[in-house]
Amino acid sequence: MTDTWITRRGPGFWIGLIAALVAAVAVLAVSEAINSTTAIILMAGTGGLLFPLMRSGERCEERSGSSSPAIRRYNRGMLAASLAYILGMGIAVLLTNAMGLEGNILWLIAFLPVAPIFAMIWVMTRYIIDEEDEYLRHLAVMANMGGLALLMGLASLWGFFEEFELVSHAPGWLSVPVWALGMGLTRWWMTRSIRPEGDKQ
Amino acid sequence: MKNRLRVLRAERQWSQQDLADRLDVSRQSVNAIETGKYDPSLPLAFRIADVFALTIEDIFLRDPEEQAAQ
Repeated sequence: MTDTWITRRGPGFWIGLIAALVAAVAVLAVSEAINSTTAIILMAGTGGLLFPLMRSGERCEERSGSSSPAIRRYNRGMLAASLAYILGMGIAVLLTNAMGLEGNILWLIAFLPVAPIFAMIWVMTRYIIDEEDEYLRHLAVMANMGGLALLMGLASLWGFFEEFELVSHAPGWLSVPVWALGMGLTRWWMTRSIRPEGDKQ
Repeated sequence: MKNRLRVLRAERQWSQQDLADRLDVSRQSVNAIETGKYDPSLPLAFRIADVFALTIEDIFLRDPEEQAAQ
């Protein structure tokens, strides 16, 4: 993969940019400066930044010597599932707002953004099965354990805080972003001292 | 577990990527094993030994404390 202005910027740049845009759209939506339809369209546009994020991430993996065919399949699977999640969420919100849906159809609508989450879990499982490099597989398993630890710890803590009415209710769908954050932090912690370029000696 | 991977590699003037290619693993795996962050499985340890034409015991060294405890 050749260096372009996209891949020269690290994944951190793209993650920061996506987070900043999502936060800006959320602030505009909460303050009612834009309606929910506009917010969904802007969020979908932000989803397009997942492509440069993936390319930048793959370049970073190649530089650090942690690339493999299984990782490339994983990246593409996660990108497809993430885009499906944005699309599913957008369709669900737009349909509910535009058509004022009620009754059993809401079960189906609510499932639209959930199906891609199941796909993400499947892509991760497939990666752990397919990865032939035992150290990379070890990293993935440990990162998953880190994500699970953060999720279980925070969910238990928040749940009891809620029981005693110390904090407001946290929606269940936050579990996936928390899990992903735990995975990312664990992976960073485990690989932080690995040199980015090949050691010639 | 300590190992002599870096020395053996240097003697042959192989980069981490050269060794990774011979072992069919990622360069990050070689780095992690070499720096003692990850102990390879027995099949991978045998492959490493085969690449250097040595025995596993010539490459991987038991910790003195661990050995004394046995």
